[in-house]
Amino acid sequence: MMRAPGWVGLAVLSIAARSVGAQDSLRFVGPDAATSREVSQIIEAVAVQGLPAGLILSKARFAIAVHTPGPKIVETAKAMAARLVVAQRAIAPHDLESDLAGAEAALSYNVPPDILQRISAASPKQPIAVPLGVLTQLVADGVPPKRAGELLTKLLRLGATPTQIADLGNTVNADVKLAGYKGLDALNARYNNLIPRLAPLSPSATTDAGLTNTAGAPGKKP
Amino acid sequence: MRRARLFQIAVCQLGSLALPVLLSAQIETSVDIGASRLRQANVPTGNSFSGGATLDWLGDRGQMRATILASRQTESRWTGQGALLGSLTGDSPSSWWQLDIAASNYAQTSALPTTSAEGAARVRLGSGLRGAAFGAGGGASITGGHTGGVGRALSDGWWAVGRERFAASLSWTRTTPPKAFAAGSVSYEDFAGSWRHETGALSVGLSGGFRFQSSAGPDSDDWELADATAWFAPHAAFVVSGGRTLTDFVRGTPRTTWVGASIRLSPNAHPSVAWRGRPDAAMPRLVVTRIGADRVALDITAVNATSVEMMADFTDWQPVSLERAGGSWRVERAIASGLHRVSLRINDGAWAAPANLPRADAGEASVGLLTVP
Repeated sequence: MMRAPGWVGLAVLSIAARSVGAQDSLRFVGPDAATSREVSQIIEAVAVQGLPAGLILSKARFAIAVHTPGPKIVETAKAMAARLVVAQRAIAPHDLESDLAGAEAALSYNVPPDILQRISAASPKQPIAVPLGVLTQLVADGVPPKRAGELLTKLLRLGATPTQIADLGNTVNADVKLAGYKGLDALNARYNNLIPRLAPLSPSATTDAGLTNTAGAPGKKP
Repeated sequence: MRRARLFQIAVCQLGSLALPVLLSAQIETSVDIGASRLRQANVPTGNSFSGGATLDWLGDRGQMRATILASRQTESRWTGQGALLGSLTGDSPSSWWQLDIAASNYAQTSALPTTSAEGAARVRLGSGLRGAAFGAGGGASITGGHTGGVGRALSDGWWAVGRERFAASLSWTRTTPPKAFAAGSVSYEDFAGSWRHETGALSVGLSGGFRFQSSAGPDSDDWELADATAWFAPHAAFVVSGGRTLTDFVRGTPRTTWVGASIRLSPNAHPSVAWRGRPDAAMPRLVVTRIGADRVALDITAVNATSVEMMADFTDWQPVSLERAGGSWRVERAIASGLHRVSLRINDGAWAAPANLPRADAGEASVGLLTVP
């Protein structure tokens, strides 16, 4: 029998080593053997579908850190896996891990998939992890998903940067948590403040000069 | 002009406000009530009381403003004006074209009203944050039985950074105003610049310009405006303004110098200067700032803290100690943009979500949701 060339053996070893490394990176050690086995199976199934299984692993590891019971960890992992499948469909063709993570998080707060679709369509060529993250934050603060989705979609269409969108979300959060305002009121107020800076018009002295308002001041330039 | 006719004009202007309501978009309205001291050409300096209303409509591809104002100086002297300004752009924030319309009506007692309408087309470069536009337009102005044409060449530039917005414009205008303003055609060049600072609760603006080679007056003249709006409550603001404007040959408004103040009321909520946090000083707060393409700074404010630890999805839920940086605690690291979960521990106490962040799931009451830009 002809012996396989040495380089073939090295290639096989290399592939095997990488597989083992990949399995180690997604390896989950739970509070008990049953939990470890079930969650690991869920993670493996998600990975096979090309979805970011690392998200489930991270969630499961957090659950360990806060001493969540085994059955609850399994239940959470299953639910998350199902949401990732829905998220993938909702934000296609966006497929970055951070985008899918944002979409899954929004779904976990019962944001309808069609809102995710609209946000995805409003920014077809740019990552959407930031607006999806802000969407989840706003819904967690009590803003109706539809209203939050409408405003975020509009901001994306107006060219708001990720920094502006993230600042909007974090500022609304502070208004709600620190100042006690209702989420929707805070969002509307902060959104109204942001919009003039994104307006598509250029100011023109020739159209505004001479136009006076109540106190005799010119109309505010858009 | 009889007061009744003045109000008829105002009602017609109000009717134009109904159109934007039918269109789905962002709408903001306000009403101003105030007083000012005015000086206008051929009119004694005096005090006036005024009231006005403004409606702004912002859609994905354009915006419109409708505004009316009525001012009473004496029992027998009233002025009223209204304007409808609108713009339409292409189907993206960086659209290369823009169409503008402007219609106005100015009236005062014992004088014929002036109605004007014009349109313009511009080529746009850049985006809503910074760019320029060039174009031309025309229209007509009617005063009594006199109709005058208007032609303009326009150029604008704008730049927004943070809370500051700067703009400049250069334009050329040619028009045939009524004889009360000038004999024959008038042409002039206007150069203007403006700055506006917006913090949400406070808006401050300065603008000014020069007019060159006016054929109906001095070779050059200047104008200046300043205004400040402070929202002292979510639906009420205090507005102060003053300045000097030049004669508008197209709209028929006279040269005016004024200083005034008003109360602005709006059904739309605004951040207010009284909108301050009332946090428990002991509760830690987290602020995130992107400091590089692949680096983020997390600053935690924690009063009386001697040690601050953080764990998050981006630390694989392993505690990380923060270092004191001035009045806060800081850590810098590479963190992907998007939503993250984070928890803090102060002085070896219990893990808790930062006070300024929404809580994660009910089962994760100690974890906050943070969006990294």
